[in-house]
Amino acid sequence: MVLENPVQPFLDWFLGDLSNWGAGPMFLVTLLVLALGSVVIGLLVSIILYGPLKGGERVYTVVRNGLAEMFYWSPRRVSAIARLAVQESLRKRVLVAIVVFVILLLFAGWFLQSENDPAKIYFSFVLTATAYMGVFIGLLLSVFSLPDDFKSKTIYTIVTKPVRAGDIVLGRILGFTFVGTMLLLIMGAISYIFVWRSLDHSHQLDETVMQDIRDADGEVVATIPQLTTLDNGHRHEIRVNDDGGIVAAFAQGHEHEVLQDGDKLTVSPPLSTMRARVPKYGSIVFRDPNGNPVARGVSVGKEWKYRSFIQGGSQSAAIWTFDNVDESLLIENKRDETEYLPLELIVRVFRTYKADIETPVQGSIQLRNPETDLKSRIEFFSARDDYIDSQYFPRKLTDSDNNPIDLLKDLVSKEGQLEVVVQCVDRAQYFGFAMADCFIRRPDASPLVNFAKAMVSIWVQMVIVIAIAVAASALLTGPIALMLTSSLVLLGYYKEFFVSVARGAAEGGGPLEALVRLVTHMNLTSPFPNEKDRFEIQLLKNVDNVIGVFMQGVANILPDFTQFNGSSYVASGFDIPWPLIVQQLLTCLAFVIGSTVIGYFFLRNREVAR
Amino acid sequence: MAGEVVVETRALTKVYRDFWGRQKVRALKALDLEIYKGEIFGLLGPNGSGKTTTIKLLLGLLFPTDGQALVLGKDATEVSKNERIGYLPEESYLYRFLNAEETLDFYGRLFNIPAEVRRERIDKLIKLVKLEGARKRQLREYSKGMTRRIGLAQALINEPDLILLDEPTSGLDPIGTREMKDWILALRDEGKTIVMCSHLLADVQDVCDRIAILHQGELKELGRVDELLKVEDVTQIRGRNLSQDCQNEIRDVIARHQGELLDMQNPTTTLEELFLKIVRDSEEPPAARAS
Amino acid sequence: MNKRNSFRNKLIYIVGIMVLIFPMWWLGSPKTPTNRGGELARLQEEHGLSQANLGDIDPASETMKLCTLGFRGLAVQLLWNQAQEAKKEENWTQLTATLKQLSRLQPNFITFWKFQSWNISYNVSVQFDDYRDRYYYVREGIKFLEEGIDHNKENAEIPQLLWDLGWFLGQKIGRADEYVQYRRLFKADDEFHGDRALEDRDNWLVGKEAYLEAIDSIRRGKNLGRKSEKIFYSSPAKSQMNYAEAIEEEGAFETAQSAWVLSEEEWREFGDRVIEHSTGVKLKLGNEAEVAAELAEQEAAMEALAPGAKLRLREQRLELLSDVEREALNTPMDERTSQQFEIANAAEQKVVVTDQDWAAAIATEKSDLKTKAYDLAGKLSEQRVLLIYTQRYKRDANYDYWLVRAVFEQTPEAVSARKSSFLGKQAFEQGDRFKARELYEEAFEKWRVVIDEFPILMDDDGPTGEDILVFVEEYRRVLDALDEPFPESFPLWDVIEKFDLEQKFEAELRDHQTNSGKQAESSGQKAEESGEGDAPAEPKEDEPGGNDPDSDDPDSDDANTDDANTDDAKTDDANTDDAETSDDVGDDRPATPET
Repeated sequence: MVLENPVQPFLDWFLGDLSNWGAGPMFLVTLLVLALGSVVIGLLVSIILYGPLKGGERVYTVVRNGLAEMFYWSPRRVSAIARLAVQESLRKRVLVAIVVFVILLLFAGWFLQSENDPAKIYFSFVLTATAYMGVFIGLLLSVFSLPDDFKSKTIYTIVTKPVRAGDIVLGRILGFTFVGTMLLLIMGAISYIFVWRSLDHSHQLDETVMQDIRDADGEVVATIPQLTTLDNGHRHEIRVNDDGGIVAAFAQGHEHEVLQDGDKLTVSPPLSTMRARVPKYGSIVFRDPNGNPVARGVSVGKEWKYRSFIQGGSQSAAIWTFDNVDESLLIENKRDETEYLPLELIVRVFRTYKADIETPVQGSIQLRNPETDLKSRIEFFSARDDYIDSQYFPRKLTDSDNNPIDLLKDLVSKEGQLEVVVQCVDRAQYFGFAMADCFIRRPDASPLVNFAKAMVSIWVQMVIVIAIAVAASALLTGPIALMLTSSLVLLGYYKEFFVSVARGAAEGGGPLEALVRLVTHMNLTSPFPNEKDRFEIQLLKNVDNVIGVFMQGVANILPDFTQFNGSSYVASGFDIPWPLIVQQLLTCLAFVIGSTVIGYFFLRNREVAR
Repeated sequence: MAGEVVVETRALTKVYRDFWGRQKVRALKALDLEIYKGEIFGLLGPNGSGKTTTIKLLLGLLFPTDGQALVLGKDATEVSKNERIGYLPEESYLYRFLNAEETLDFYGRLFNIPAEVRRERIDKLIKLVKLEGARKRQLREYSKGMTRRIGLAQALINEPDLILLDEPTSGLDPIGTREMKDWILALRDEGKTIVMCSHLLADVQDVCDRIAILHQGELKELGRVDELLKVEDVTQIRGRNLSQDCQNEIRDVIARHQGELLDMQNPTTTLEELFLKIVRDSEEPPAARAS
Repeated sequence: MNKRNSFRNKLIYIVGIMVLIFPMWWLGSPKTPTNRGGELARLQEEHGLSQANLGDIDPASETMKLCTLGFRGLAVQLLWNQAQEAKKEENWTQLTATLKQLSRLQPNFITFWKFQSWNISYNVSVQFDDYRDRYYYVREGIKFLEEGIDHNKENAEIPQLLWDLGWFLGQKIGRADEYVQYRRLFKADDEFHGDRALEDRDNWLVGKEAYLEAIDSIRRGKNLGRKSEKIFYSSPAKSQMNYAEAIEEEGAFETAQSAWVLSEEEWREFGDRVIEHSTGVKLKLGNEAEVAAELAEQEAAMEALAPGAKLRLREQRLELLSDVEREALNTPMDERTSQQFEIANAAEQKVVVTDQDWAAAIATEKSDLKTKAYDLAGKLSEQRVLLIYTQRYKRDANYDYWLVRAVFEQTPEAVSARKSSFLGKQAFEQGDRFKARELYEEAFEKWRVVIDEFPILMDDDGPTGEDILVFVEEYRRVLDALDEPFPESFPLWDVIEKFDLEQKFEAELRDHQTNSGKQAESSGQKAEESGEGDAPAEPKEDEPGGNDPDSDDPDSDDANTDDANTDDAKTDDANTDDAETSDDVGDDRPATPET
């Protein structure tokens, strides 16, 4: 799978270092800046409105109340408000959402026709649909609740009780979260069943073309069909495995077993349509054609810079270094009772000339001890483009001089490091690699748990939306709060772009400049005619710069929703790493805390009656 | 009867402003009030006179533009004062999808009342406001009278010391009004302080110990109801089971003391007259009033 | 505000509402059986734009359009971006899924289908290394195009989609580097063909069907857009020839022979078709001789009016030239200096006698013939233009070459010549070198006969010679394997002389020329690049080279650019196939889908 930003270990992410702060310090700093900023702005405004003395007193009261009430909250009151929120949601018939979702899945077949990789399509569809539904429901539930209370004045009977504004905000966030969680659980269950049902299929054997199975001496031992029937948009070739079992070979991301029942052959249900590979990644460096270490290989002119390429027939190589390689990573093959290092490799092939189209480009792979420079005997492989290929190394192997060595003892350094060196053999052909293209495969995790993890990511998105929506609705009327929150959500989905506009890195300039270009049908890249001399253009750009600074500020508190996307993992059959889940949960917590505080100040300091 | 002061306002002022900060209405002008423990205090005035504004300021639903309101010794904007306050809003703003029990339970939780105590009080209050038959029905199905009653029950869930009632009898039929008044009096007898505002003069006259009459945000009259209504040169005679002879005798007695018997019918609601007089006075041009 | 004021306001509102409602009614009232409806309904009817008129209505599509709540434009924009992004990040599954969704949202936007099917067939397929994966995506693009056709059967622009389908099926499969594999996979593609008979599963034939359907749709009143008629109408016959060529290469000579017979018939049919020149002149490619004859006749008639008048006028004008100019004109073409060249050109302009001048001259000589002269002059000019255009178009389409090709390929000599070459190659591959040599020599004898019979094959534009050269090379390989010299008795020296542009046979040729006593002359200077033609053995560029020539400029003088346009141009824009597509796309970016 594509992993553009490797998942950081938890502590690195949370604490970071001096130059690059982790999430924890960043959160505190943001909170501090926000708090100080609000106090300063509030002070300025009240001094203008009420004069220095009274204004100062008001701000003091607000801050004092805030500090006093912040820690004065009771679980019973919060839970009462939360329960009320749940009852309110049920009253608003949120269960309709489930019906809508089911209808969506019923019609999903219309635009999810059989594809190359159906599991990928189905998973990304259900997860994306669930995520959108989750965010949408969370938004609609929470954003109108407080404003409705204001409209119907039921809020009067609440705030005249000893309820802290924080209780009201937090209670609502929790209540709606509970409702949302229930909905997500139901939708998740439906989704999982949907995917499972959609991927489940059976084949018959197509007996029009038969093939002979020969034993080692070339004697025909059996005659079996060559292909299965065409079901679910694909068919399999029937092959005989090394261990003599008959299988319907890998196609569309899965295979079947062919079971022999006396004379009758039947095809089993699909095996491993859903999987959750658990990779152990290493770090990657490259060697240029002269064998010098470089950070990246060459570019073959692809727009996407994810992979870089090594030249064939030269000293160019991609080298992965794996840490903490020990016995626990080896797997044992039951049949020959040998231990293997399960290495998986994805190769992107780039040919500079066609050569023989039907012959794959050749590559080589070997293991190397970074300390002693001892190398295992070179293994050659035929590159299968864009496909996860297994390269299993037995524990007992030979070095480049054919002396027997032990993988763990001789090839792993004292620090537990092991290098994997991959080269392209064919001259002037290229292999492309990224860090995530080679990994040691740990035992697969449960696909169900993995799916649940993806649902947690979606849950996190929903909770963040609810938190923001409740906080916004503590001050604003329903429609305005809805607009604000959905804008934040949208920006959150396009945070990268937003930040690039804020920094002036995006083509087309800042917001004003872009608007002018849009209206005047000007393209994004060409500068305005003699823009240096034109006052209005310079003014425009300067205003944009100021807006940019403001936008960067907003960007700091903007949730990056693309980071909460577990669907790419599940869809490509990889396990979502736990640190990622923890990161997401902590981020979510930060948003809930922040929103509660902000919501508290909004609600506490507005006149409830109007 | 100056006892313990429960509610005190000092030059309490409220100015409503529009979005741009322009002054729109001076709803309350420098109100000074003291309300004592154990009395029933009535705020009286026509619509828009500032009585509801006063109640909202006392509850902290509004923030004063100037001056201060102290409730139970605390600033009105402080939340903790709510612990000992009960509030019946004008139109029982309750969640219509809850039933009576759930409503009381919900508000009970907001007071952080432990579960057993809550259950006990809910039973007691439901019995008190006579909603035993409807305790499991959603409030959406309630009649106006029932809604007022559950509203009152809700205001009493914390056994408050101070009860603020906003138009407690509005929209009630005569029997309901009577019941409400009886409860109010009973609460006073329990030693609770009650502040109510109303424009129904009869109610106020019947139950209030003291009243304040507001008009256009200004305090016009303040005092004990009996004192305010006492007309020095008028004696009202009321009696029960008076025979014709007795009545004639009384007439004679009056005649003997050179008095003149005006009327022996039911008494007129003089509060209404007082009220109308105040309203008339305020609406006259200032010069005319000064004279 | 008093009562009268409020009444007046109400009146103003009512009038305002009426004023606004009227244009809405005028534009939007729906069509009923009795009423032809508002302006929009009328326009819809006139241009065949109503959904039901265009093609299959897909409930999924309608549902999705409804779901966007009027924000279809926005949704489409987002999805196009998503598709581009998916393509960039090589997320092919995502790309195809996004395209599927897009196709629901804008099912009648022709450019979408053209652009994205090209994207899949041409740009996505080449991202894979395995030819089977490549074929999968080539076919996905074709299927996508077919889906688009289903949704737009009655769309006015449908011929373009159908033609594209023919192009993809023919050129993308049959002209790719991996055409051998593609054609094999295409034949075996049960999923694609369904119950189409095995012998019909040739990509060229299936492509031809699409071309014919495209032509048929024109007959039903659909329009061609800006596609050149010359290319459009020649496509089925060309497909037929490509088919014949392809199966010859695969050794099916009997079938090929009859395929060539059909090719000739169809090519002649194409020559008889009235085609509109980009200037609006109507012409027939097969009609050049007639046009020329008529022109000569008309010139003679003009000459008869006043014999020698034209010549005399020219003489007069020559008199007026300066000495330098005259000298330049009198110097033979290849001896002129570059200065003289320019002068001569200018002078020629001065002395040239147009038909109008001619008529004027006649009129001055014989004033009674004035009307007739001018009349004839007018016709003469028209005829001249027609002839020039016809010639130019013929050259563009390489009409004569293909006609000759179709004719000679069906002759028994040509068939057996090809067969012998083919068998020779086969024998060599099987290791039978002697038999191979024998077969090749037999083949060359037959080729000699064919060339003598059809000398046009030796024309610069006739790359068949190059085709033969490939056999000669193979033959030499056989000889090398046998360790024998290139025989002097080789019958096709002229082919080598003419077509060995890369001078692969330089040594052999030198020996031959010394032997035959000729002066050695550099064979490299022969002719200009003739590679524009339609040779089956035309060198195929490696795909990353992909700068596709625009083929469909209506005035393009490129000869048969359709075939030069090999394959796999790995350009980012999918619209390299023809100039008009790129224009369309430029106008109709996703932000403004079908209006």
